[in-house]
Amino acid sequence: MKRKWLQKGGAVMMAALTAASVLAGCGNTEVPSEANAAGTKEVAGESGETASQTSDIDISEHVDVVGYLLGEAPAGMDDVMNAVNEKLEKDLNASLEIRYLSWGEYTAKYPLLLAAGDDIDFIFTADWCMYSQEATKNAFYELTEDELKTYMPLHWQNCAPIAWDVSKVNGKNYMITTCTPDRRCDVAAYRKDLCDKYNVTAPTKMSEFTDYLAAIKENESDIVPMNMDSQYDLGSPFGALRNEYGDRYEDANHLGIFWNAESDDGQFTPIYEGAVRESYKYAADIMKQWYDAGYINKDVFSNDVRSKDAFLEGKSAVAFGNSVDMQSFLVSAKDKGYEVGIVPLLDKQGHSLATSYLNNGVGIAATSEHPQRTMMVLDKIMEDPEYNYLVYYGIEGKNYVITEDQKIGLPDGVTADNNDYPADAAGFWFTNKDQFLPSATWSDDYIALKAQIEDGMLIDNKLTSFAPNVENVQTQVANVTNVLQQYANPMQVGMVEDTEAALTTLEEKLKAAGLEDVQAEIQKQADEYLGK
Amino acid sequence: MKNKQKNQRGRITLWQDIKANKMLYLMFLPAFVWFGVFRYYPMAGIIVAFKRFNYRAGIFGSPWNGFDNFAYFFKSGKAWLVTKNTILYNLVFLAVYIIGATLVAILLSEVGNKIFRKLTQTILFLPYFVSWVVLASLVYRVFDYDTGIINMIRGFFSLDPLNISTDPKVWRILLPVLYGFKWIGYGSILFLSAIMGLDRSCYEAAEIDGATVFQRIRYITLPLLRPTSITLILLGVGKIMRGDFDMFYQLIGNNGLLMDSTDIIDTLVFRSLMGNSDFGMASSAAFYQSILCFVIIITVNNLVKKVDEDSALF
Repeated sequence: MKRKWLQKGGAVMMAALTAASVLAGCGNTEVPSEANAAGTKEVAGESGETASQTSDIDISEHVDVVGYLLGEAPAGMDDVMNAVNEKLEKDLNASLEIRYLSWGEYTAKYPLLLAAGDDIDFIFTADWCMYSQEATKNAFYELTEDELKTYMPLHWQNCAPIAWDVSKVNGKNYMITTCTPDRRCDVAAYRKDLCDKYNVTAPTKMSEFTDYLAAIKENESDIVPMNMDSQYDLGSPFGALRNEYGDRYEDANHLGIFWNAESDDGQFTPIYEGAVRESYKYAADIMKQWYDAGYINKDVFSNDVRSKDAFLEGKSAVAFGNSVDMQSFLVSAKDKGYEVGIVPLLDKQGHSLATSYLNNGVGIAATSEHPQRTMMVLDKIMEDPEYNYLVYYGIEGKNYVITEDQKIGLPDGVTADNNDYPADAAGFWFTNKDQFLPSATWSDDYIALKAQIEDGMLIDNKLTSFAPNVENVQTQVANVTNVLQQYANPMQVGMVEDTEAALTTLEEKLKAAGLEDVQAEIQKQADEYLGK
Repeated sequence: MKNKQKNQRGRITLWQDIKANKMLYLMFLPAFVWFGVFRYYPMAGIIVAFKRFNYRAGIFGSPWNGFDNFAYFFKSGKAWLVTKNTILYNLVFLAVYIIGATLVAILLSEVGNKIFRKLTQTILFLPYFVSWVVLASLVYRVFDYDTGIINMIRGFFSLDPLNISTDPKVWRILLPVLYGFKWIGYGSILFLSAIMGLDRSCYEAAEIDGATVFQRIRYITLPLLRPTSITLILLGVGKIMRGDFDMFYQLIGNNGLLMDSTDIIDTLVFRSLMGNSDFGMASSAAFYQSILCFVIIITVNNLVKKVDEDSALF
């Protein structure tokens, strides 16, 4: 009798347990903690100093804001977030949690996050990072001038009005853009010490790297001359070669349709026509020459280590990046004892394109339960210098110090390598960078480059901030994207047998995929945008 | 079984059956819930394939757009190619899996030493737990153009080095080999348990009659394994239109030079839509796969039924 009962009970329990564990996956895990909320309310009541600013806004309810950024959390992230949250609790009765989407998976996870809409208040966005695609699908909370003025007063005050105009999609605003678009250009770094060692003339532009690459290939068997990854580097040297051939042609939304940054004609040209085709052929030929000579790694498509990381480990002799994100790289390289030269990657006229306001920004998720409070948190982070330094440079005394000559330096005993919160590395690229002091770690070369950038290197174009809406040609866009990956990418690495034949195939396939429809649609929207 | 009780019309109602076999139904409950929640409930979402999806309106509120979402797939010029690739690769994989697993299971069952058998079984089972990400990096190290062991061996015999990043032919062999490496151990356990369940007296009788090991395998083991093989083949055929996305994406990635011989439906769709993240268009491909899978499994199952009614799945 007893045994039978046990059997029965056991089966019931097992069934219940299995069912429960299955269902647990679907449940909402958010457990509001009343005790916590009550505790912080008190704190908020005590802090009178911020009351003037937010007096008419009700912040009595404690709010947890969840934000998503790109990249990976630096080791010192927890300390920084603790410091940020201590201040946020006091100022806004809120706390902030940052989660990361890694570079390898963000394109796949980004839309899912917004579609699911659980537990997300804001997310990094940019013209190169899903902005128009997601905005057209109503994924972001619509921003209004009134709300921005009320909840982000500092930001509204610091930002040029043009930023507000250019971030419109279908006449509505969804992106809180940076106030300070980066003044930067793409660069390639090389080993000056190796240049001297093998008696090679220092390159000044991409096409002059051949001798340097050859010397590395011949003498340094442990270093791959150009060790590229499948995301950032794929296309970097190719683009640099293409640009130095003539005018700088920019690809609108990576669809194989280019506009001339040096001209105001507002015309779009497909890959396979005119000057764009010539520059493509020129760049593809050089890349093929390098690939065939063994200067480029064979596994570009399956490699996910960026050249700048491989460079620091002695596995690549060239590194690609831009003048902003290479700062910490340059310091690390110096610590390793490498003498590094930097080559700005410019067009034939010596120009680079100024980045638009849309290059870095934040979107608030349409499903956010507290969009206003999220804005208030973002206002602090982006425009309040104390917060801004904290999220961008880390904790003063631990991650950075302000030197006597008013520069940002590293504390004693901290090097670029062991700093657990390196500048710019935590993904807060959209904050107000005008508030930052110059860095003490900048080398003379880097200061010279910065001067060069400020001195007329950057050109502006009305189309910089143009973000076309491709909803009407979705089918063609899907197929064009696919064709470019299959037929253009191998050319950009130099892997094809015959560049001329590859270009002809690319042209055929693109036309079949409907590139002409996409071009017509984008041209139409551009004409409207430019007021033609 | 007690379910022989019948109601007035001479048929058992579901409720009576449940009452009569409470325990069996209780044991079935977890599977029922699991399939309900994760398999049947999400099926309604397939209508998104016919909709212009936007987040605010959700799956059911978004406007219909007919077959627009299907257009890109059939206009890509690759619909036939990837469908063919998907089916052919899966057929080869299935053959490798069934034949390999049967072979390994029979060999293991004939091994007398228990410790050796258990050890081999465990080692063979291990690759099942290794993810494709790890396997992919392993493959690229082994086949590395300059330093990989394969090219060192080829160099020793003065053969040209293989470049797996540009040579699609290599993958036609490599992919089935890797698939076998990962799955044969797992499959062999299914077959081994089937073999262990066979009536030992058949073997004893055969031995007394003087049958050799090979004759025992040929005339006893293989015929008795037929139902198991047919079930596993039917299960495999059921997902023949679904490529192993993980495998292809981790191994091939976005390498355009390999695409014509290694592109399957899943990778084509992923690549085309990653940029614009359109759920409707992605679902249309899943819809296409599901419909074809459904037709194929029904056809094959009916064929099996005609030949051997007991082996059919349903």
